[in-house]
Amino acid sequence: MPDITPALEIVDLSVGYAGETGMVPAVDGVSFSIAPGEFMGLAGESGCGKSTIAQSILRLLRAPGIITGGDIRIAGHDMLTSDEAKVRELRWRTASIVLQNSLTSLNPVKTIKWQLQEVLDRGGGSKSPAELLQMVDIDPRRLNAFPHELSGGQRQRVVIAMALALSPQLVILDEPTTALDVIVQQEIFVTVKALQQQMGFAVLLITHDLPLLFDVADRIAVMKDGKIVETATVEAFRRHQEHPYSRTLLSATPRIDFATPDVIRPKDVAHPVLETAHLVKAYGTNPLTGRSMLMAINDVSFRLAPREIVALVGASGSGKSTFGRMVTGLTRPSSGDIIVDGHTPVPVSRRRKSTPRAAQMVFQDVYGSLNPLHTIGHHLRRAVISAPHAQKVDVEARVASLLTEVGLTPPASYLDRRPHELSGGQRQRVGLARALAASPKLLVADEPVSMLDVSIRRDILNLIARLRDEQGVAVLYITHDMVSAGYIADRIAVMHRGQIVEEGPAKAILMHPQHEYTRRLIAAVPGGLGLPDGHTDNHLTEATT
Amino acid sequence: MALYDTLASARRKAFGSIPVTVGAVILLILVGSSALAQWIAPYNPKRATGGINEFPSLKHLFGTTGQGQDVLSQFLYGGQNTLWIAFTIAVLTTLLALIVALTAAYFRGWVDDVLTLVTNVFLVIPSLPLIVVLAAFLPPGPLTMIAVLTITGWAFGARLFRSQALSLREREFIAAAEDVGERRWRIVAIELLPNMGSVVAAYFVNQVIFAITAQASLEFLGLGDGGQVTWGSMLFWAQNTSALIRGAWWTFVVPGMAIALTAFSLALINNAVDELGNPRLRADRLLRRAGVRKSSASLMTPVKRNA
Repeated sequence: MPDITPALEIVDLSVGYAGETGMVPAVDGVSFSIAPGEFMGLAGESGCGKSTIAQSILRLLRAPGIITGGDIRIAGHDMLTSDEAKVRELRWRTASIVLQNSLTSLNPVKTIKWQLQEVLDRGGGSKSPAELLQMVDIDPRRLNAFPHELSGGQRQRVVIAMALALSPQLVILDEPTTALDVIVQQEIFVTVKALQQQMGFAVLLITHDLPLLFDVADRIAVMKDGKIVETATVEAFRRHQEHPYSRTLLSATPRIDFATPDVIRPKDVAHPVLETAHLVKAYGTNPLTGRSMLMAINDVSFRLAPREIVALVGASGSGKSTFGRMVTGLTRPSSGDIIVDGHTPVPVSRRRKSTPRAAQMVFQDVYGSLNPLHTIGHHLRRAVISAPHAQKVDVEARVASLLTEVGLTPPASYLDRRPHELSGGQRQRVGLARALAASPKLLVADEPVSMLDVSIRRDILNLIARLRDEQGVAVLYITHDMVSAGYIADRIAVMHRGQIVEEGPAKAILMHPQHEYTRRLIAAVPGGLGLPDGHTDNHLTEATT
Repeated sequence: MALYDTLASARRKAFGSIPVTVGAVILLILVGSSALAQWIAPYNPKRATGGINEFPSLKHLFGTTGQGQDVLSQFLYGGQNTLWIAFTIAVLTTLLALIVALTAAYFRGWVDDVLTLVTNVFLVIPSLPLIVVLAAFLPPGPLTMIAVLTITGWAFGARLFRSQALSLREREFIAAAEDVGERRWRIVAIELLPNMGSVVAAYFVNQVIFAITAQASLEFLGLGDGGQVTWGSMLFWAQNTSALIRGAWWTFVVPGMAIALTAFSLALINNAVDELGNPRLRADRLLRRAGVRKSSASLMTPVKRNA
């Protein structure tokens, strides 16, 4: 007889955070349940309360979080009325959780064998640490490794092995692959799905990535402002979204329009805005032998024409960010040449007021790239004052026009605000305005949208494209995301282990990847590239010619 | 502006809690009464104005010393001398530590190596013997006291600030400021330093406590200026006139309590400063305010229906 008790049952759950002026609600009357063995996805944007739910289930939510109402039952066990001893008994045995940052989930000074054994010692597990590692496709010989000796993907696998050690009925995955790149993400979910087939546990996957849920989940719940606005099976959801917010979320995902052909810009060979020749950046050079521990950039020769957007695509550790930092002068190359607009970039430490700044950086971390103590006005005024000018400029007027250019209007209302008063998208607009202050010829945008919510990513990408059109600035767009690269870029260069392995017009690369690594990057995109059905290679060739 | 806002919100948070208010009131009374010593002290602290070791009375509220001086007057004037020296030492050590730490953290490379080496040397030197030796060789007086305790007291702070500054330096807003072409000193002073506010404030408060107790210890050992009236020298003279054997407890309890109360009030204030830099402490307070009694060791999200 099948087990009819749901693996997880949440009824009318409300969670809030105690604040200076009373409770701030975060989750408001949420109900859903997960059947045994079901794979449920909970999607929503940052701040919608999805992680609050994930952590409340095992009552792991940190102070000042308070559960203010409702019921949580895991396989029939009431979590909210149980005392501390009972809850501790249920954690890991009945339900377990995998968090986003595997570095902080594992103890850095213990071997993974010790840490797996610690979970097993609670009793109930039938496997040995070696078998657990084998289960998640890690060589059991690595049992005595310390967490820092494993890659990010392997560490997350170890955490998953731990979560499964006591054969729980429910595993909560809270953004487990957000910090990892697409290829690793795909491999991890292949493993999780296979294990779920074998062991029959239920999964609650928390993510902001709807296409990922299309690939892995059975059912989807969409959250907005602490409430679930829609729950549906994946098949039904793909066909039709009931709630307007779900539709917004889905349509906001950048899509590549394969119908319009690539714009082939005439290559201005005489005056490229960026040119590198045999660029090398090596770390950890041995002073005796002259050999390097790590070649972050290995002999890269690359050109970027004025008004061109080139996406530099690669997985984490491929060297793409190092390349961007060298172009702007934040990092110095070991050898080779960089010419930006006719000059070698001046290292930031030797930069003087009059030094022209042909290349400016747009940073990834929208929370870390603005000083939390200073106003938006301060950031932009400083950028304008520090920039080289032929004649005297009216700083306030320039700041206002920069804010207008990036779509923050009216400018006056933003000047006195501090970064924490802005949304992620608005912060990135400020970051763009700051980079534009020196009227650069080239913007180096290092993952400018990867930390933003899905619904505003496309707006920022469109803004970057518009700035190119209006201001004539060239863009080096550094990303791991093939879809956004295809969406915005004229050309794509694929970077792998410090070398550019493939380069060409964007859509041509996406449709006819030549290099094995490019193929893997494309295959790993969650939900696929969204190529329309019936597109054959022949047909696509026509589209690009 | 930024600093003003931080201070304003600090004040709001600080006076929200009872321990901090108590600490601030005690410190205000101690500092205020010492500052007004010239006007409110009943007698000259150095002159014998009563009998030897007189029990507290209306004429001598805190009694008299073994040399017939008024203990209340000594307490007030002694507070003046003790506190200004202590605050000066705290300001100087904090500044010195900040300068060393920010220079090391910002320039890194060999500058960092040299400064860290110097800091480590000062950390390793056994400070109490060094203090005693220095204080014994230099002419006694407030300046010697300040110099000796500043030289021996800054190294730990430099360590603390350097690690904080190094982690802040890796934040992207510093790279962004470099990229727009800000000058180095501006990045350090305007971008980096304000973000270290809570650590610096906490360290400063601790340094005041350190300076008061270290100063009192030196003077108690007779290494201060015997002619000056301070809380430490009051203890020194109480010991020298065998106050303990004669049962004249008021001669050492009064300065002892003064030192203890100052340290106590500063420790209470430090609680609020800590909370600025440690969100977990603040979260616990918010939970208590919301009516949840939670032991800080508990790893369970509390349930409170109809909150």
